[in-house]
Amino acid sequence: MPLLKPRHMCVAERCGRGLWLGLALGLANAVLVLPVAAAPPAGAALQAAASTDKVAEPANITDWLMRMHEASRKRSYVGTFVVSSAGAMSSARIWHVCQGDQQVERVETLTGPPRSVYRYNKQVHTFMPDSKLMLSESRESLGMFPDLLKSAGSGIAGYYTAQAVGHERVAGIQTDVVELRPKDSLRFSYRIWAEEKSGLVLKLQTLDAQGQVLEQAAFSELQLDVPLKMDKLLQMMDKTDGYRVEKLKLLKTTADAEGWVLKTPVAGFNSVSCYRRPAANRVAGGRAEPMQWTFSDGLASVSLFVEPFDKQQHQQESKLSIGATQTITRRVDAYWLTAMGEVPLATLQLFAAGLERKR
Amino acid sequence: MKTTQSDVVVGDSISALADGELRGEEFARALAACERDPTMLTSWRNYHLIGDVLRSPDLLAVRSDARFLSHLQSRLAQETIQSVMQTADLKSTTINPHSVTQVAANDALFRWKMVAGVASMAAVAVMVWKGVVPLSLTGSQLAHKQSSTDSVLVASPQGVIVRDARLEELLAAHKQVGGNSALQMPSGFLRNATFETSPHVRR
Repeated sequence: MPLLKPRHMCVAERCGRGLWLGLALGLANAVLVLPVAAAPPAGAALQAAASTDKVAEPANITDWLMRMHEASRKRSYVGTFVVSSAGAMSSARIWHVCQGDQQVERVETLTGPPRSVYRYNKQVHTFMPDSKLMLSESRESLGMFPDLLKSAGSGIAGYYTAQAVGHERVAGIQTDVVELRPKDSLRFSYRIWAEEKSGLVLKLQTLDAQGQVLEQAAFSELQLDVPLKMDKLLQMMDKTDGYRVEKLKLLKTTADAEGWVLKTPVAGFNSVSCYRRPAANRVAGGRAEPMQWTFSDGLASVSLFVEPFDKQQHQQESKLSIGATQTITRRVDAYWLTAMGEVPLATLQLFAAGLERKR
Repeated sequence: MKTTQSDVVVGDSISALADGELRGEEFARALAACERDPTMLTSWRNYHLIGDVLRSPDLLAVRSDARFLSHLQSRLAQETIQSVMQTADLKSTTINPHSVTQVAANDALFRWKMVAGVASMAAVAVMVWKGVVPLSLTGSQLAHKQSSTDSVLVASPQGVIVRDARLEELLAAHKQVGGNSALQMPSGFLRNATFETSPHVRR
C-alpha cells in the first residue's frame, strides 16, 4: 500500500481541480477498462437491451428506494468512487461482493491517509496502516434497512416525493435520474442516478433549498458483475498481523433513562437509537463520553450529543457546515449539546429548542 | 522575540524564498537578509521543515519528540500578538465558500504562499503538533486560538467555530451510528468510508 501511494496521489492531484474533471478522467478510464459486456452497446443493440432488461420505472418513492436497496444486495462490482464535499475531493477503490444474503465490501482510500475498510454485513473493520491500528465495530444502522423503510414507510412518503427527471450516463452506464424532494423546509433534497437495469445507485447529490449541490458522490469508473471471491476478501478482513485491534463497544441506553426528553418533536424525525460509550474507551485524561441520541426521517439522520457543561472546553455556541453535514453547539442547563446531521441548520435549531432535561 | 511590522515583511519574503518564488531584485534582497541575519536562515529552514511535514504525513511522527514540542511551545508563546490579530481579522471577514480557491492541505499542490507570514505559521504549527490537518476549510482561514493550544478556529459561512479533536470525534460517531438512512446501504456507507473527516481521531 505505501508503495502504491505516490501514484494514487498523482491521480488525486490531477483530479484535484474538481469532481467533474475527476469524473471525466474516470469515464475515459472506464472506456478503456470496461469489458464490452459492461459497456452500453450503441445504437440498435442499446434499444434491444433496453426493451428486454429495463423494468418499468417505480411509481413511488418507497419502490424506488427498495429497488436501489435490492440492487446493492445483488450486484457484485469493482469501481472507483469519488466524493466531493466542502471543497475537498476524496476517492476510493471499491470491491463489492454478494453471495445469497451475505455481502462483503472492501474500500481502499486513494486520497488522504491510507485506510482499508472492510464490511461483512454489519461487521466493519477499519485498518489504519500508518498507526498499525485496526478498529473493529458492529454497525447496527447497516442492518436497519429495509425495516427502517417499512416502519417509517409512510414517513418517507409523507415528507418526500420522488420524481423521475430523465436519463443520463454515469461511468459509461445508462441511468435513471430521480429527484427526492422534501415537502417541507426541514430537510435537503437528493438527486440520484440509478442504473436503468437494476437500480444500483451510481451517483448521489445532496442539494439545499436553493438547489445548490452541497455534496456529491459518484462512481467514476465501474465494472459490474465481476467474478470476485468472497472468501478472499474475508481472509483479508481478518488478517490483523502486526496490527493492534481495538473493539468499539457502545452501551445501549434510552434518552428517558439518561433523563432527556424531546419536548417538541421535529416533524418526520423518529428516535432511532441512544448510546453511551463506556468509560473504558476513553483516551487517558479524556472527558466523559457524551450520550448520542439519533433520529432519522428515513433519509436524513441527526445525532444529538449531550455531555456535562465544561467551562474550559465549551466556550462559544457555534454553527458549522461541512458539505451536507451541519453542526450546532448550544448550552442546555448544566449540559452542552452538539447537534449534527445532514439537515438544514434550522432543523438542528428545532432539535436544540425541543430538547429538555426531565424534571 | 519582539515582532515588528518589518520583521513580518522579511518573514514573508523568506517564506517566498523557501517556495522558490523570488526573482531578481527580491531574490537578491532575501539572500542578503539571510547572510546578514542568522535567524533569517533559521526561519528559512523552518519553512522548509513545515513544508515537508505538510507534504508528507509520515513526518508527523516528529510530534513525539519532546524537545521539538517544547521548542514549538515556546515559539507559539511568542506568537501571541500576531495570533490575536489574526483571530480578530477572521471575525470581521465573511468568507464565501465558492470564492475560496485554495485546495486542501493534503493536496500536493498546496502552495505555501497561502500560509505565508509568521501568524499563519503558528496556526499550521498547531495543526502539525496536534497531528490534525483538517481536510476542508484549511489554508488562510485557520488561526491559532490563543487561549487553548488544543483547538483551531475555522471560519465557516455560518461564522467562526472551534474545530478541535473533540468535534472530529463527534463527526465520526455521527457517521458510525447516525447513518440511519434508506440511502445508507446503496451509497452512504461508501460515502463515509471514502470521505473520512477524522482520519487521525483514533490514533
